[in-house]
Amino acid sequence: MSLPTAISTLSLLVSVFAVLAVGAVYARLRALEQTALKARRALFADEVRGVPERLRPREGERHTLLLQLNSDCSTCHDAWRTVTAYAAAAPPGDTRFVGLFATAAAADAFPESPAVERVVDPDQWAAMSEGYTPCVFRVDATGQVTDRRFVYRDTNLAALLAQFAPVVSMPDPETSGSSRAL
Amino acid sequence: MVDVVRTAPDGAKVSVTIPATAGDVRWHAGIRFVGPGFARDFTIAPVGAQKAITQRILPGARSQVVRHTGYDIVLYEAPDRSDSVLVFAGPYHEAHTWFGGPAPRTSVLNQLVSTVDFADSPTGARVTARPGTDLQQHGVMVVGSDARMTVMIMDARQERDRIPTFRGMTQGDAEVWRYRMDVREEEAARLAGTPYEWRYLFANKTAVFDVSFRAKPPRGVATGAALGQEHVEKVLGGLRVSWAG
Repeated sequence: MSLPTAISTLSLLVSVFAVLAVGAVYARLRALEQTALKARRALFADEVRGVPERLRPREGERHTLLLQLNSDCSTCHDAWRTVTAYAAAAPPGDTRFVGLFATAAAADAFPESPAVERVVDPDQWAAMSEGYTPCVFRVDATGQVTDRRFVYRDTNLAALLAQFAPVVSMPDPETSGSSRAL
Repeated sequence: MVDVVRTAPDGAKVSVTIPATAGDVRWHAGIRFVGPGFARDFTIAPVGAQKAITQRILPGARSQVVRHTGYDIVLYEAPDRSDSVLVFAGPYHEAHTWFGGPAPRTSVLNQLVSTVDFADSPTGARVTARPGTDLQQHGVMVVGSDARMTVMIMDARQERDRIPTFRGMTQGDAEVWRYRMDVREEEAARLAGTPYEWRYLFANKTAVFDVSFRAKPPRGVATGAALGQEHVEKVLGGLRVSWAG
C-alpha cells in the first residue's frame, strides 16, 4: 500500500468515526430532552404550559378563557352556544373569551358572537390539543395555562364557566389584604 | 351483531363481535407491572368511574389534582388514611391503582409517574412502562360487561397455562370448556340445571376469553324479562374475539 492510499484510508476511518460520534451525541441529546429537560413530566407536579401572545389576556384583563373546538362534534356546538351566552352576560374587561379553531372552515361552522373572539391557528390548535374536543383552558395574565377541563355532553358548562370566570368580579383574596383583616 | 374494536392496555387491538341481544356492554381493562422494587396493578374504566371513589368507596376523601398534557393525575386519600388511590384520568378512560394504605410519599409518586406512561384514546387507554424501567407486564385483560354478562379477554400467548389439557367442544374457530360457577352452596342449588350454573372458557388462535352470565341483574338495574337457555346459547354462539398485537 502506497503512502497516499494509507493516508486517505486513515482519514476516511477518522471521518466515519466523527459521523458516528456526532450521531451518538445527537441520540443522547434526544434522550436527555425527553427526561432531564422535561423533568416536570416525570414528576407528580403540574406540567407548565404557556400560550403565545395572541391568546393571552389583553391589558387589564385577568384571564383568557380558551375554548378549543372542532366543527364535527355536536358537543362543541352546544359548548359554543353556552359560552357565547355566558360571555355576552359577563362584564367586559375581566375575562377574554376565545374560541380556538384549526381551520377557517371549522370556525365558519359556528355562529358569530360579539363576545367571543374566533382565532384560527392550526399550529396552536395542535400544540394545545389533548386528544379531545371541546376543551376549556384558563390562561392567566402571564400566559400560563392554570386549568384545563374536558367538556362532555353531561358537563354543567355554565357552572364550570362560573368557576373559571365569575360574572361578578371579585377581588383576588391572595393579593388584597383588607378582606383578610376582616 | 355489534362489532367493537378495543385497545388493550398494552396496545394490542382486540376485535369483538357480540350479538346485539347481549345488551349495552361497557368496557374495562387491567394490567399489572412487576419489576425491581415495583409492583402495581392498574384497572382501566370508562371516564367518570372516579366519582365512585368519593361517593361510595372513600366518602369524604381528600384529593389532589396534577395536570399533565392529555390527562390529569388525581390522588385520593381516605379521611382516616386507611386507603388511597392514584387515578390517571384522560378524556375517555381512567386508570386506577390502589395503594391499600396511606398515600405514598412524593418521591414514590414521582417514581410511579415517571415509570408508567398513560395514553388515552376513544377505543381504550394504554398504560405502558417507559423504556429503561426494566418492568414486566402481566395479566393484560380486556373486560366487557353489562347487567347480564361479563366477558374477560386475554392474549392466548400469555394464557396458555389457563386452558385445560383435555379437548373442549369445537365451536367455530374456538374450543369451549365449561366450569361450575364458584358460588355459595344455596346459590349453586338454586342455579342447578340453568345455564347460569356454568362459566364458559373459550380459546381460539389469538385469544382466550371467559364468559359468565349473571342470574340476577345488579341492584338498581332493570333488564326486563328473565333470560333463559336460548339467550345464553345465542350469545355464546355469536361471540367472536380476536387479539392482534
